[in-house]
Amino acid sequence: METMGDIFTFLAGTPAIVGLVLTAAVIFLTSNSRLALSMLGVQYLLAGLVLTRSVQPELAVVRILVGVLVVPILYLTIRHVLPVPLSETETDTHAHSLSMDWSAGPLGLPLRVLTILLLSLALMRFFPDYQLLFQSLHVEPAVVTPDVALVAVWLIGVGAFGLILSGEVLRVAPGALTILTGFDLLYAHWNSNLAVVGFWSAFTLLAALAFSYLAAVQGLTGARLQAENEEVDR
Amino acid sequence: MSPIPGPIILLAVPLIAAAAAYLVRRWALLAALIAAVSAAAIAALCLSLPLEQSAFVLEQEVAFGRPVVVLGQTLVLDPAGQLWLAFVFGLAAVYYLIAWRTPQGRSYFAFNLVMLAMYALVVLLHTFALSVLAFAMSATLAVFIIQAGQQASVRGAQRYLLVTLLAVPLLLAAAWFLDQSTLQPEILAELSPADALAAAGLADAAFQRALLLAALGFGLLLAAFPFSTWMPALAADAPPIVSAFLFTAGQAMAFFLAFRFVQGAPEVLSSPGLSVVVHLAAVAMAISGGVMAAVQRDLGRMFGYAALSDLGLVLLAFNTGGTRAIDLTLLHLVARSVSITLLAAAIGIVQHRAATGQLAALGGVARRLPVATIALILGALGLAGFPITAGFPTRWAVSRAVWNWVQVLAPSSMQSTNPGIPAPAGVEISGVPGQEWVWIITLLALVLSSVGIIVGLIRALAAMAGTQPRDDIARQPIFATALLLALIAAAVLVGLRPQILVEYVSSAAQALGLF
Repeated sequence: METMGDIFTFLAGTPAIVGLVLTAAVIFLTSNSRLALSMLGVQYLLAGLVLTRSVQPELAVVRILVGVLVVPILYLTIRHVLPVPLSETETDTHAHSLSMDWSAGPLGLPLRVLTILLLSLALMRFFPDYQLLFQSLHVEPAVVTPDVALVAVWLIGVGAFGLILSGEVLRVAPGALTILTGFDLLYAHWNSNLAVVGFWSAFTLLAALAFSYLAAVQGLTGARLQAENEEVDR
Repeated sequence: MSPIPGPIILLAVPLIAAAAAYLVRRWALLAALIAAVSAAAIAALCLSLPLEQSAFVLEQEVAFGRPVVVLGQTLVLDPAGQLWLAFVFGLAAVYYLIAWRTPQGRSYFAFNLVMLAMYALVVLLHTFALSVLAFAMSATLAVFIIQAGQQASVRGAQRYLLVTLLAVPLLLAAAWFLDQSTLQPEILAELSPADALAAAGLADAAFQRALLLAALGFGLLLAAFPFSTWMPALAADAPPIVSAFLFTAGQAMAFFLAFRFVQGAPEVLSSPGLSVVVHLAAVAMAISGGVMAAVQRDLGRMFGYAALSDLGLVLLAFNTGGTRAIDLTLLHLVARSVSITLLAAAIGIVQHRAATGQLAALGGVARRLPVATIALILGALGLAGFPITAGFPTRWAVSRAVWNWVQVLAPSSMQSTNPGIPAPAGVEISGVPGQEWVWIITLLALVLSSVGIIVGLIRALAAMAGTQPRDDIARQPIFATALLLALIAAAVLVGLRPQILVEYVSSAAQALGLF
């Protein structure tokens, strides 16, 4: 009979890695901020789960707690600046919050799917080259396992493309935080100093607060401009 | 009673002042006074208190150099950090006084003081990763004062946040790779010759990766080409004094981190690739900043591009100064701070009174705000390196150093056994004939940088001149005028007698101990 520990160990393996790959892809593809933030929350949970394999459980829990705080910070902002989900107000072709329209430019789904495909191909092609980069020369055996190396680079890559293709704060924020999560997966293996973990967590929280503030300002500006336009129309 | 350790003062005073300034944020004078007095007091303590022994301050014994252990981390002030903090806190005190009469947003004083506490933490921590993270936290706090509650574009704040956010992983990874590149002699001794050779190869590869990542990370923080776009965007959106703070104190702290990184691996300085990259980035920044400053239609953006162009000169100073590179770099960092402060204060007053920075809407402002206009002229000319302004001595020194390189590397000099031309101090000549073109282009970049900024200034003045009455613009307040006059005097003084800064700059350079 399987114990809870066995189930936990199983979940922290391939399922968590696959989950991280999928959450990053959804964050990149969707134009629905609520969905993106939900996936970000799941991503923090899975990253914490993956880290339980290699670092002290307490440190992994800290990462999960950070996610637990970051997501509501951004979610509350969305509630204030976007009373109605974007997908319900837009008239473009949509499927499950994904904009299908080429005219949506960088936010359009086709371009983003293409980006994801090309990125996956590149990551698989160069996997033998970069997975060795992250191994410590001083510690045996190698601590960063190949699956963690792959998913970390995937998160960083998808997050970076998310930044490049997005302008709105609410789309940039999940991308940027995805990059930090990807790097954290590697860095937790390299440096498990408690002070560094604390500083990193504080930095992540402050970054979420800063994004939240900027999103609120951007939302208020949009609302003001909309009100002004309506006034002019009348 | 045991003496108070310096690190506690450096962290507690700005944090307590921040809380007080936040509570009285509705009364700008009170908030400005609290902030300015606390920052100036710390700057004075940093300049006057010895690190080796305790001293009495207000009848209280203070041991400024005594280490403190907090949560397992040792916080200690070293001589380089002491001078660095004196500079940053002193500069901040001036900005607080200016901000009283040219409002920068209600939360400016409180948030900025917390940022200063973070800067102190950067200096006090001696673990590079923690210093980087402390700096990153200060940058996230900066977002709030960059935006300052304005419902306008968020581009400047967002770009600043993103460059910091991207720089942090790069720098942490660089530090890790650097650590990997150091091979322990006892481990090497246990390896066979073949394994030792392979290990040395791996260590060298790790070192190269560390260098690349550090170049990218610091390139982002220092707005090195091609990561420069955040500076003009920030200057366009942020209140001018906030921009000035980030361009002077913020970038000084980024330089501090860079020097700290190099202290951990001095061999970085002898890497030829790094020298080429820094040189190219500096030339590109000087040219692009100068050219773009000439064509702007907004005072804020012009300020951003001028500061960017001048930042290229800081990197050139580092690359061309030979054994005095650190002295020259630090001297220019201080001198440019004077010019930037003057320019930002002038733009702040103009924007505050005219309610815009758009050149098209500034007609007649020069007659209404004459002192601010003079400050604008001197500040911009300082960034252009015009004689008798603060930027001139160091720009002249860098230009001379570049000219020396041109002469030394000219084919005729290289072929001659006794060329009779002194090489740049302390620098071995390893160039090849014909390489003088690199340095001639560098000289042209310096000229373009200056000309571009001056053309931008002339366009701004042409827009601000005009005889139309501007009764809608209130005359500038007396205190702001007095501050501007004091800054003008400081700019001219530094321009005429840069020696007054040399002692402090040399002490800081020696304390860094990179050469």
